[in-house]
Amino acid sequence: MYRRVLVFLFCTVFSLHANPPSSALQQPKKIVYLVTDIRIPFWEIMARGISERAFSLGYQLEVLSSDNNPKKELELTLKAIREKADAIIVSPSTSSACVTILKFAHKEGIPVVISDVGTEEGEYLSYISSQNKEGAYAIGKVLTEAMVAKGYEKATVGIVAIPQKRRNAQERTAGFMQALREAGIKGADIKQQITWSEEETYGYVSEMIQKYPDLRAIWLQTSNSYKGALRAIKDAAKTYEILLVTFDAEPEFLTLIPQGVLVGSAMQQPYLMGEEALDAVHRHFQNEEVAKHIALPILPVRAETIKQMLPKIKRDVLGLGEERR
Amino acid sequence: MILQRKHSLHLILGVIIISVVSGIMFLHAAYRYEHTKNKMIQELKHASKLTIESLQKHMTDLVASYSLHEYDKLILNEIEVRDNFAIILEDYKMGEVLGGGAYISGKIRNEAWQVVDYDPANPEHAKKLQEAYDVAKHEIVTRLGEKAGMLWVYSSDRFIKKELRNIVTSTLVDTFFILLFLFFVLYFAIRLYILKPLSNIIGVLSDSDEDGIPLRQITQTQGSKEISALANTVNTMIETIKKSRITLTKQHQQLLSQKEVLAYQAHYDFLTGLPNRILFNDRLEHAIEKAHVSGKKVALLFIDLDHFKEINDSLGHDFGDKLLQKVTAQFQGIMGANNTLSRLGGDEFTVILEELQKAEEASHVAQLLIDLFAEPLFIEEKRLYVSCSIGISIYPDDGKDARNLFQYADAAMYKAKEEGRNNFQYYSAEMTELSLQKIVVETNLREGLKKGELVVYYQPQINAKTGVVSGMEALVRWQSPLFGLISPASFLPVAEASGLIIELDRFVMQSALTQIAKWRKEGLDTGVLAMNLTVKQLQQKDFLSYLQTLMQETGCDPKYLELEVTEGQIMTRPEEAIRILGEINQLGIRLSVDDFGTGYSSLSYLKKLPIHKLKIDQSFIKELPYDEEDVAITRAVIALAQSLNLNIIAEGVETLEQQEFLVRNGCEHIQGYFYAKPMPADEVEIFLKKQHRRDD
Repeated sequence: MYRRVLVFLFCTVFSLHANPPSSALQQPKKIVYLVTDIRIPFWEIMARGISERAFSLGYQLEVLSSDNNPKKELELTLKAIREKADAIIVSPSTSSACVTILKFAHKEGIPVVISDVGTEEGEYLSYISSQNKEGAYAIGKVLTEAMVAKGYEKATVGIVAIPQKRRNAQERTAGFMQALREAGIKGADIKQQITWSEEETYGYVSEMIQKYPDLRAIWLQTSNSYKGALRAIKDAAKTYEILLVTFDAEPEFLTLIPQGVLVGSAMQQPYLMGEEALDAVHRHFQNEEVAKHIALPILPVRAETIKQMLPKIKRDVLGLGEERR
Repeated sequence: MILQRKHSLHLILGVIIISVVSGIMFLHAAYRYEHTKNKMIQELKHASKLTIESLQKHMTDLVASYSLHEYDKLILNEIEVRDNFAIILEDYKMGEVLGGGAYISGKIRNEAWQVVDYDPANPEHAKKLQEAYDVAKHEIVTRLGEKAGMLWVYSSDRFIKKELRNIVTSTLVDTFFILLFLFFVLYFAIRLYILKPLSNIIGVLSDSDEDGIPLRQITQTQGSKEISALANTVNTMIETIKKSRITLTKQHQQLLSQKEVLAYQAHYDFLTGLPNRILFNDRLEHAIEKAHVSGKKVALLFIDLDHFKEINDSLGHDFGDKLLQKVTAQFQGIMGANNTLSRLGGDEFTVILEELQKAEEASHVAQLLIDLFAEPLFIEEKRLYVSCSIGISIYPDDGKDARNLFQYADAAMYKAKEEGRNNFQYYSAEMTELSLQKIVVETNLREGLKKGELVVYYQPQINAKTGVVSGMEALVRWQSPLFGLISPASFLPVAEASGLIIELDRFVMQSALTQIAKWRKEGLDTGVLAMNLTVKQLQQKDFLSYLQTLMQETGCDPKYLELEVTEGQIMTRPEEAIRILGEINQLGIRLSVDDFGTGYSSLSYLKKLPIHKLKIDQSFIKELPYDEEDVAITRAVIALAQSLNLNIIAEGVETLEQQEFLVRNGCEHIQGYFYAKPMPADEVEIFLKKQHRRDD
């Protein structure tokens, strides 16, 4: 909540000093970013991408985080509608919840850009996503190469997945499994996150290590609970024995990957996605053509490549641009 | 006509098949319709129930988690799976988010039965929900017991109607094809197994001869067992009919032969082979018709043999028949082409003479017939003299119809008889009058008997030597109020001819016996009562019992009775006369022969007869004592009686000379006017009383 208020104030202040794209006499257009949980770094980075681009283009932006609460998500959606937002950028809790958001917005004629997660259906202006399947496939290749290097061809891989109802989750699983199939390595088990907490991840990983003796690798489909996974491996005394790859990024990864604690991570570019979302709204306001679907590449980062990709990682993945920082 | 009004079996079967199948299909369809309808209603309600059951499992969590799209998808999935009409959710929790009330969402079917989002603000949707066939609702309650919403499941009868329409349509189509199928199958089956064999049978039965009997047998190769049985039965019937026809034909021929025989017997005389009375009448009428056209005359000759009865009685019926056959042959010998000889019965013959120009032409034939018997006939080596009497009537002179001609010829024949027989007589109008008189007499005599117009007179018989009454003869008299006192000679022949003589004789017997008994009781000596009886009376089967009863009733002693029988009557059938008279004699009654000397008495028979007395006929007394023949005959009769030890009496004695001659020659008993005429009872009584006083 604290962070949300900060972001809001930040955006509001910026909106007062920015040059609006329209007449100076006109009120700047209000854009609401509905985010499922601003407490998660990925979304916070994306929010910054959106906010900073809104600031630069002179839009009034309000970031509303539902903190992973569906009721609140609906309440905030209705709030945005009642406050007559000119556009909504949404990172929904689920693709399904997004449908409801789109439905209410559509009823009021408010254009919506979906930034990640996606929707099951509904009317929207544009959908900004990562190339999840390709990214997962790439990190899958990184893992299988590492496993082969360590002689783990016969070993299995456990997966701690984000809810598979999400479209992006399904794409990630598909891409990763393709890489495993190509390497001839089998999956041991797949666990879906519910609370997204470290403890949950710790439990899943511990269970799989115990249950599958030939388990030699863990893939986390997200980054936020990587600590739970590391702890579970460590507690099982399998550090460096059980390999860990993740999806997305945490600032700590810039250290852990070169150290080999993490074999690698498929890093989305949330900051860049936020910028792209705001740009889509802007193009709409400018009556320019807006692509219905914009899929941004995922960066397969591993120890060997991280140095080379570091500037892009810092800006587009971690939102650590010089200006903003 | 009746056959035309009837329908063919094809049509009847067609109607039956169509009616039955239609009826069955209708009932089946009605049952299926109702069954399906009920089933679908149940299914519809069940689907609503299942929908609610299915939805309620997840709906609570989805509502509680504000998963609007999730429950929207769930509703969509459910409505598509269950084919509900509408599923509406009242989401109270979302309603809170929206500021109170319920957030209403759901799915509903449009006209194309596509699922669309339910819009509470759309009046068309609201109306559709109201028109829904069925609705079920379920309250959504969270685990904490909080009312989270209300689920409404609406059902439409669209599918019921559609299904029922399909049933009706499919039933109609099914019915049509089943009808078509059954019609053809049954039609061809029935045609093959029933109609065709039946037509075959009908064809065979129709192909018949003029008598309607089929010419050939049924050759049945198809058809049912029953049809084959029918064919066999019909074949058997045909065979039986054919055999029956052969038998019937034979019987028919026999009947024809018998008919011919009967027709012959009906029209011809069995004895002589001549046309009988029936054919005679026919021929006579035919002859009259011809003569009417041609204008010529027809003569009818009625021939009666003289004394044939006596011949028949004395020589027997066989002899009589041979005589008739002989006479027939004689007659036929002189018959011409235009003559018809017939025998009417007994000794009666007729001859129809046609094509006559004059009535006198009949005389020639009549004379020829009479002349046939100029010479005696020989039968069974017996020589027999026969004659005949012929009556002739002429068409159109005497009468114009057969009946009259016959009556007139008959009358003329009687005239010939009266004229001494052996002659012929033409009819004249007077004959009719005589005949009429006979009828009048017979009628009045019958009436007179009933009315007591007939009375018994008594003529005393006197012993000439002693002058004492030895007896009296009862004589009948008819005192008619119309004609006065009528002579017995006038009415007795009529009575005898008509059969009235039996009744008349018995009337006399009863009256006389009663009277004699009465006089006897009064002490008057009447002597023996003599009564005349005809042979017909004696031949009556009940005569003897009647006589005995009469004697008992009147108390008349038989020794005072004497029955007189004429010589001629005894001699007609002498054997029978001997038997009957013997029986009468057994009763103690005396017998005497009346009119002795006038007939052909056989002395051998006379000797056998149980008689006590001979009565000399008055025809011999009349000329006594002057006629030599009468004197000789009278003396001979008296001598005969004396030689046979019989009493003798003379009747018709009127003069003293006659009385003296008779007494002198040995006949003491006298009856006649010389002593007394026949008198009524009261006068006889006076006579007897005088006699009695004189004797005293």
